[in-house]
Amino acid sequence: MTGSFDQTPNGDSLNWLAVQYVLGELSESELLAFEERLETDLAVCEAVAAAVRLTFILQVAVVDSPVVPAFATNPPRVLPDATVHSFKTTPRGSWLVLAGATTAAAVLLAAMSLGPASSPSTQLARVDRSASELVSLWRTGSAVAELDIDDADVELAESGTEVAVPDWLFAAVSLEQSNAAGNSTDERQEN
Amino acid sequence: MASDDGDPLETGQPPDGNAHRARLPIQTVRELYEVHSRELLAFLVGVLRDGHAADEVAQAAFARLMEVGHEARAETIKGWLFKVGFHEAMAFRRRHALQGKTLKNYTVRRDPLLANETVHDELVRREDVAKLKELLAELPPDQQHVVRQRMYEGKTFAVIADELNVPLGTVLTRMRLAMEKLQKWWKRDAYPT
Repeated sequence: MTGSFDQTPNGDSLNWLAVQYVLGELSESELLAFEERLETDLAVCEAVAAAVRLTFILQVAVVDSPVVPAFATNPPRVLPDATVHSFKTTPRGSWLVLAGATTAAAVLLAAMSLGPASSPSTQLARVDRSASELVSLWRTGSAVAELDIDDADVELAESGTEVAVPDWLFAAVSLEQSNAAGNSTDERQEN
Repeated sequence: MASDDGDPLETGQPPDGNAHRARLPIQTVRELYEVHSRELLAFLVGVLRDGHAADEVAQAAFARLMEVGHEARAETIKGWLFKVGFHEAMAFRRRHALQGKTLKNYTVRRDPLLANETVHDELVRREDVAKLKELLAELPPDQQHVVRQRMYEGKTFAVIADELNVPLGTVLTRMRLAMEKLQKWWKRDAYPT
């Protein structure tokens, strides 16, 4: 035993080969070649022993470790329709599918119970309708009269809060009143 | 591997007229057992994929050590022990092959861990599990995923590659990188040589 097999001719490390051997991932020819080395090289034997112990511990450690979702490692696969129905799941996968379907159904029921006004599609339609109505009213010149009065404005009027009125507005109103009074005097004199 | 004297201990026939040399003291055998038994057992589990068989063969190897271990050189006694263990394991396989089981039974992929509860406690230390959990969490998610799928779900690398829709080489690389990191810790902290 030389203990010098850090790298195999094809570049694989001894430890990695040992792991593959322990996991049963070597082909039959690779396995036979590897076992020839077991007979002559203590380093290979030690690598196998280490691989066994490491995989034992790893298996126990993995059980209690948080699951890494597949989508964190790769984008989801786009399966053809024909394969979707034949997709096989493990018992664990079946539970996940069942849990997902239950959650989706609960969300759907909750959305329906809130009524149509709360659905995104209804809100979108309402926004569209309001915009078209506003354009129509604006074109007919009655936009100001038809516009909804803001609740804040109503509260302000009812509370009697003093509103500052500009001087030009008083002047304009006075002029209009005096003109109206002048017109009525002239009409009386003509009569 | 072991001695250059034709491995007399394998055959039990000492060469060079050393038949009357004293056997190893029981204390020495006990010390050798303490030092090497776990590693030998792990090695044999890897070869036989069977905890019961590995335990049986390990006992046979130490029985040989008591019988003829005195013929081995002290500096190569570990190599001798592993070689005897390997030969015993091969003999075990051949016996079972004669009983109808073929070598192929040992070459197909089998999870070596599931059916080995008898040796599990012998080979797994709680503190090692705790440390390995920490290291697992530090691995990139793609490597963690492959490790979990292979070690816990029991899927082959080919199946994992198919499910992830990536080449087999990618999955092997991820697993290899993960194992290399864990093995570095193994050599540095858990079982430094």
